[in-house]
Amino acid sequence: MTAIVSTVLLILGFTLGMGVWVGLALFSVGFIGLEVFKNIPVEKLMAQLSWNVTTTPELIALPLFILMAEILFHSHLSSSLFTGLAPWTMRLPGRLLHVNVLGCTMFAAISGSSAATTATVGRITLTELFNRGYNKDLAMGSLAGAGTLGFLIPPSIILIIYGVLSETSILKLFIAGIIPGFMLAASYMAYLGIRTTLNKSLVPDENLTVPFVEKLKGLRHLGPVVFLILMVLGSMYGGYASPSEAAAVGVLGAALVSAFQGTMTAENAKKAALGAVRTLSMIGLIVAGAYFLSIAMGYLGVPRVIAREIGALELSPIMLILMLLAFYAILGCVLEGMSSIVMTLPITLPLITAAGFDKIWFGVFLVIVVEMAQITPPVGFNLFVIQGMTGESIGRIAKATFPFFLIMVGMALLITFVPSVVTYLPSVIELRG
Amino acid sequence: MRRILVLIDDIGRYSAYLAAMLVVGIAVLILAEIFSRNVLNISLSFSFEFSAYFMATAIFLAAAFTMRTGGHVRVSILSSAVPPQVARLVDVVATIIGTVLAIILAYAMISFAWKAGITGRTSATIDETPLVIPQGIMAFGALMLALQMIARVIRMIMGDEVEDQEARKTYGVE
Repeated sequence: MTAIVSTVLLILGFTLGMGVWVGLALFSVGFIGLEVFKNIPVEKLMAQLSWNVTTTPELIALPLFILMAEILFHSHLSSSLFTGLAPWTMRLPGRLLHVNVLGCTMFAAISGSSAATTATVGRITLTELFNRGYNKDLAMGSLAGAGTLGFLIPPSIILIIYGVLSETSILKLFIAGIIPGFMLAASYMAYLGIRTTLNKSLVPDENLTVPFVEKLKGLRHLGPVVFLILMVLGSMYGGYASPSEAAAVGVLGAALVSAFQGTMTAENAKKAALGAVRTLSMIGLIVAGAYFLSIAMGYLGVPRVIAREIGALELSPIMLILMLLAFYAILGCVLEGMSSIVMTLPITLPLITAAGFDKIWFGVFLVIVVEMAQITPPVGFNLFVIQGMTGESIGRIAKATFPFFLIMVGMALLITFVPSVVTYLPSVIELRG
Repeated sequence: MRRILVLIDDIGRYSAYLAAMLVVGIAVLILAEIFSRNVLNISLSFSFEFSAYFMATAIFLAAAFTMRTGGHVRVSILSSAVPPQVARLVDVVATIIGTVLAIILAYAMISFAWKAGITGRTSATIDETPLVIPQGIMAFGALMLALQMIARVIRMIMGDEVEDQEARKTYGVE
């Protein structure tokens, strides 16, 4: 039994470590494992499972939210966000730096992905902040940190995939992410406020107080975002639409906003649609590989062996979570976050439920952990996105982001010790339909 | 030889265009369902079923294009830690392993679709869709991915650029 487990882990480590594409590498483990240790028609299983998981109705929200984010990326939404939010941050210590956090929070409520949130919001804010002489590290760090809210504040691609793989209600997962998401955003803003109060030189000395009436007028720029939030979240929480249907409404809304802003050109539409299938294909292949891997691991008895080994350690539930936190933080350094979740889920989910944790709670925990992975070098998508925009080295961006990483660790610890932060909302909101 | 490689790229790209249309098609189908159910009070039986087929086929149809444009994620820690020549060798090994896996996957999908075709299997819904259609398209996508991987191996041997950097910049969020 232990031979099987070590073989499986070795193959996984080798193929991934060599740089074999994650989606394909995940197939290797199940394939070799079943070929060698079990007498099962592997190809048949491989095709059947890939078919089953990629035609899961709940997963339909995935391509739609990706498409929506792509359409918005090519619109003027990010500059509208900046214009609408900027005047309101002038009285806060740290001023325009807060636009990063507020912008990401709002955009996260219509986007399911961290990379898309970082890229869309950062397009405008980074240039503006750099040009006005704000501290570069704080500007980049707060963007990288706040960009990860895309995964936590619903809708969320990761929660959709987690919901499908763990057979948990996606809507409940979405609701569970709300409070931790806002708390995280508030913590980032508090940190920015404290840092910039302690060191005034981080923020340029410009006096741009805007009359209140102007501020109110500026709010119209937030119209498109608010319109989209109402369409997507409103239709879901109002009970009119399932997450997949809300995503389709979101695509329509995004297309309308883009058409209204005059950015819905044939060129942009092609870019958005092709960009969307590229992301969809990447994620879809990983999900198929991970699903096959999890079933194969089940056949091979891997989760059972690992559960027994860990059970022998007699960890308390809290110790188990802390261990997982450390494990995922390390894994997140070398592996992109979503991949690390889907491939470890077959092992960690049974462990967690056996220890008495709630599946919805664990979903949110994993999302925070993935967010950490998004900003840890050498592999962190948000860092790559910011590198692409600024040309700074990954090392410098990662260093700038580190305080925000610590805030996330704090958040993960908080929900571990006070789980009701996550479980309260889903327990009180009655879901229709 | 290069003409064959270009042909593989072209088929992959047109497959991705088709996949892009399918994703837009999902949005249209679901919106039609919402409209029909809330306004006309008729639920469209096929909307979610076909959307699911569109999704599965789009994932595989775009796989080759995504590979060519560097869109599939991989762990780069080893290749970034070693000297360039060694990194090249690592990339060759990774590509060969990836090619073998893509070929196995394509073989699995093709025999799966083949079986659906000869047994005439249909979906367990009232539409009774012949499953050979979506599964056949999916198998075609998997085959194109395998061919694109083989093309990558050939490009490595010939010393050509393995990824289409321009398309990567145009369509990648990064």
